[in-house]
Amino acid sequence: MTTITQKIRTIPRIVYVLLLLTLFGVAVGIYRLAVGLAQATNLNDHYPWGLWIGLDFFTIPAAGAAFTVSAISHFFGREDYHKVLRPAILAGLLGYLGVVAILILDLGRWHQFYNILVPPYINLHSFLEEVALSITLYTIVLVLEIAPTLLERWNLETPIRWLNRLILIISAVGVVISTVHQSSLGSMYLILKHRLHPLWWSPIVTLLFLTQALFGGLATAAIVVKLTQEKLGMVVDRPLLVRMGRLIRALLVFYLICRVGDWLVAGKLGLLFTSGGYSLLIWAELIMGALLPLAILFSRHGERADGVFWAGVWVLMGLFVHRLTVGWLGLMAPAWATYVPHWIEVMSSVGVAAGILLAFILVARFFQLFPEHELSH
Amino acid sequence: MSLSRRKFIQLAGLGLGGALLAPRTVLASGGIEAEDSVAMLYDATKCVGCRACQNACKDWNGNPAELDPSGLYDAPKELSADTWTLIQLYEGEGERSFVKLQCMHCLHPACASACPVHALQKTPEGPVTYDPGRCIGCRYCMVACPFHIPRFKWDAVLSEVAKCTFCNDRLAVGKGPACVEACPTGALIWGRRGELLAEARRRLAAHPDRYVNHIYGEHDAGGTSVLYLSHVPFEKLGLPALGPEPVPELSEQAGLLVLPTLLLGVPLALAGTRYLTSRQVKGGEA
Repeated sequence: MTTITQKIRTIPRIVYVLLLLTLFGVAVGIYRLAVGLAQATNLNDHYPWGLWIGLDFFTIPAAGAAFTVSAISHFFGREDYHKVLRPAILAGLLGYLGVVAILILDLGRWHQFYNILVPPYINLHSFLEEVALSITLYTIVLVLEIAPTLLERWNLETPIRWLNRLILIISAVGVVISTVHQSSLGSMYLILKHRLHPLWWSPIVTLLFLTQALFGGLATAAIVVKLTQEKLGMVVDRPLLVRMGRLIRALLVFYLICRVGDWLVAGKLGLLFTSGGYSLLIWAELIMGALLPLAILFSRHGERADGVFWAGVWVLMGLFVHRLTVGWLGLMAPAWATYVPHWIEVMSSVGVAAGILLAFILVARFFQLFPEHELSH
Repeated sequence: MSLSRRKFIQLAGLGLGGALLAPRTVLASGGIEAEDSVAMLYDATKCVGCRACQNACKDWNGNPAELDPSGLYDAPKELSADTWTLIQLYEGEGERSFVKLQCMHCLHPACASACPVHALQKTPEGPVTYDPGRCIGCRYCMVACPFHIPRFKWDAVLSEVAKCTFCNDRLAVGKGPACVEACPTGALIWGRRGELLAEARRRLAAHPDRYVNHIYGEHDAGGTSVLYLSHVPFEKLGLPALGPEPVPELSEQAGLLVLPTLLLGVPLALAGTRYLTSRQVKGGEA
């Protein structure tokens, strides 16, 4: 027990690197807010959306770790998932805080972002409004869900008792908001048929995005669980990871059937081979995000913690390519228009990613992310 | 035969004056009928490309001219936050035509449907208006507009969307749009949408040899408040074939269907699985 405690208390060196990157990101972020978009980004009238939107659209399904694990553990009667609920919630919350940070940088009129909450302004026809409302509400839900983990450190029994009593309702609200949120992110593209490349535009884009959030969230959860348990010197919960792997596998198969079926019905299969740079993007996405992880998960590696971990990594990389495409590269602009992210766009994003990692490491070290008896293996 | 431009404007203005004195910003659904709202008709066969409209637009809206590197005035090459309307020339295969670009003031605008905070709205009077006091600068409108019209003031610390206003502020004081009033050839006229459509049909009937037999904007993208006549296929002028369905149609229908389904279905599903699995657990224990 003491050895583990000591381990928890020793801070790894990487934390200082992460801290530097975070601080630098905060500095250039403040610079961006002070000088405006033109001087800090290369966004333009033909590429009104770029790296930042792509990263936000990736982080949202990756942060789906929280609602997927929460749904399975609270509503599908899976005690085994309950043990990893806290790291999953923490990953989700930090992801959402990162999204909010990048959104603020991206918004041209961030000083009145709260207009999304002003009732007479709300446009319910706009799926972006639904996304914005969901981000706000769900971040609050995640704070409530992680609160007991933080409060118990100072033995604040009363609020913890209340939160635990309400946890089923809080978590149900979270799952509902998440399904609305993740699917609305896809529905945002229904109005962009003329703008999004036909390989990515689809009338079932809503369903595709929701499915991605399910397997993307589980992939994040698997990665987080394995790494956290390893770094905390615990025995890695192989049976749970394997079950997560099987669920990811089933969802990936369903996703591929929907995706290919949609191309087939729309007669777009040929575009897979004839779209130049877009063909490269779609194959990168399919191979990394679906075929490779499926190959791993259907092989004997699917029975090993490492196999599931790497399948999860590939799933997230494929998702990364997909969301960068729909958020930026796939929104067709005139051939002569150009956009390469400004270094400030890159470094502020790196700063946010570093901040997420930093916060996760610190919370994992100083708070109880796993039940005590698990630690004493 | 065709109405003289001045007479036409007078006729249109008579009916419209009252409604336009105090333009309100409410959704198009409950106000003036589309045919009675204001519109513009641009006849490419009459346009000589003098750019008087372009300059009048800049003058009225206080938008700076574009300068070349030596500080001399230069014609803008594309729409921008400072250029809300633009005359361009198409030339190819023995045919040539000018074309005027500006906001189409769609009857069912994708920008307004996409805008999360109703910063962009279709007024029943016709213009699609923009309110920077509401705008959060997300630029969804810029991506959603099928005509690629809304532009952004990237240079400002707090940016704004910029586009043609249909001179809503001039309509309010009983004047016509600056571009229309500057047009020396009658290529550009304004009035009630219904009357402009009738006028366009008259021209098509009188000179079928002179025009492509289509009034762009009558039904395209669900109808627009800027209408076009041309002797060159519209797609060559940068006016895309969008079909008669309003661009936001699918999105708005999905909103009605998907949201209630999820808001009702997911809680029910959660309650159901929780009930079933807790029974299983109890059964297992017994």
